[in-house]
Amino acid sequence: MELSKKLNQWQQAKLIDSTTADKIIEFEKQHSRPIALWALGGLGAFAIILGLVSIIASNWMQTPNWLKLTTDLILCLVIALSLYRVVSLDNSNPRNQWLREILVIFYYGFTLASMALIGQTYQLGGSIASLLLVWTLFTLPLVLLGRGKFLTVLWIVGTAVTYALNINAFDDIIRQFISQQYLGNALLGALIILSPLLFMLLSRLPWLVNHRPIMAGELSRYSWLAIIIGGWFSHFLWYESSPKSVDDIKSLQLLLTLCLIATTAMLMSIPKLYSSSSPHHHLMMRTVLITVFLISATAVWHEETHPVIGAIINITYMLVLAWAALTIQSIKLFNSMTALICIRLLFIYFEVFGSMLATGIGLVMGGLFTLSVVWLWFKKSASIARHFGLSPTSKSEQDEQ
Amino acid sequence: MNNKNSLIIVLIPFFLLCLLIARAEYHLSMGTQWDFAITGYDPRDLLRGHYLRFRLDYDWQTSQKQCVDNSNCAYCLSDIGNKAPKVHIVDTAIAKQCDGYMHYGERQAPLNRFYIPETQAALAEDLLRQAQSDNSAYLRLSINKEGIAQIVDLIIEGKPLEDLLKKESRD
Repeated sequence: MELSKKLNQWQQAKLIDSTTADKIIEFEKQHSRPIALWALGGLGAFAIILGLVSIIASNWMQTPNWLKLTTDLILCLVIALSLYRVVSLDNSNPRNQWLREILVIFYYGFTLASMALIGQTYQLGGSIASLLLVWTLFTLPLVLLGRGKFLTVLWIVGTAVTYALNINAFDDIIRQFISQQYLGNALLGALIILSPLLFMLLSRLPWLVNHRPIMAGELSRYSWLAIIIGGWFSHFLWYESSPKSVDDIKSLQLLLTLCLIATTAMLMSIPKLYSSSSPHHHLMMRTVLITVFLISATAVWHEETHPVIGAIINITYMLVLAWAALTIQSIKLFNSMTALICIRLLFIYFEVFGSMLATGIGLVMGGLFTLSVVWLWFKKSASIARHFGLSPTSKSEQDEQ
Repeated sequence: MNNKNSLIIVLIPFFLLCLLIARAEYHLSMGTQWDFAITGYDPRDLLRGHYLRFRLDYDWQTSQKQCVDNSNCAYCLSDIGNKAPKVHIVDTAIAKQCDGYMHYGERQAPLNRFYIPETQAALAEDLLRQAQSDNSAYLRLSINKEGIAQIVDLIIEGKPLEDLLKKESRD
């Protein structure tokens, strides 16, 4: 509908004729995916999985265990063979693609529900972490049969939760081999903090990039999101005092060394990992990584709390993100960052000043500053857009919104 | 991707489930069954989700623990003709020569919960409370040659909990 509206506007402005408009509509029809259909289908499959898990959790006594397990296995086999049938068919058919995606999502969740059923039937006392780990590993080939974004996001969430819950298991393994407390703490901290880099490396596996570009793209996107969010939250370290014990300081030093090595390695690898991106993108990624590392590394050595410094660093960080948004030509992200900066400025006054007079003066100044930014935006946005290679029409589209 | 690879991939989860079932059944059939008294459960919070919580009440030997290195300790089980065995903690090598032995510490799987049907939760709770006062609640474990324990059943007054729940619900 949005496209039809635009096409009508362009025809009225005599930019295109009716023949061109019809050709555009026909082309879009052939190449568009019914996003709503896919999303609803995915949600439906997900709801069924949650329902099954809930039924299993109720541990229905009226059904003998052998019947529950047999039914489960038969159902599993039916799903597996149905999926195999669909995968063997023509992949270019949109209906088959949709069916394959739904079956993979359903089978993915059904496997977890079945494992929970077996655990409940045999009173297996294992942890949820080990259950999720086995499930994630054994369903990976199955997930790679899918192509869609909903499945990818579902898998990323499942894998991230599995990783987070199994951090403790890694800790137990580390402690078995390493007796020094500070060393174990540093390694555990590295496993947690550097996990987005690990997922980013996974997203850049050549096979994944070439054969599952949507999965590779989403995994990369969420990894960067985790890094950016982590960087944003690191300013809260200035609101806490740093540890004072010798072991804690040793842990921090070792942890920062590990992070420095990992960050440096990633900085050098970015052109190779993102070979299809422009040098501007590489520069943006490197700048964001360096900034996140620096603001986190410098935030752990103070003895007193310094909320003002934390707030200033936070604003500086968001300025860097705003610059990064312009570099990748994302006007929406740039606008969001600008808005966040203004909001954050206002919050500073609540943090810093105690009296109502001081807070009031601060808020007035902050409000004036915000209005100045808005005025500057309207006056200068066209030239900024041209400087960063953004289309002049992007401004008018934003204005209409 | 050729059809053979696709078939293998779609069958991996199915084989995993079969393997889990086979492993559990094998453990139950090949292990030796021991009954342990249970106690220490909080009567105000027996239910956690849809499982009963408790802890094992070992019938200790005079010296409870004769093992120093926790990573190499195991429970030594001695059958003295009672319902529950006598237990003490010794080096794994010594424990393997006892009537039965079981993993100790972190190597031991959690044995403190028993899944129950949602609709019978309140009834199960009452039965277990009653059994607590009578000291007639036992956890039956199947322990294999490697010392790994798996829960078989919760026994109350000599009968499996599930049978008691079915009988009570019929009545």
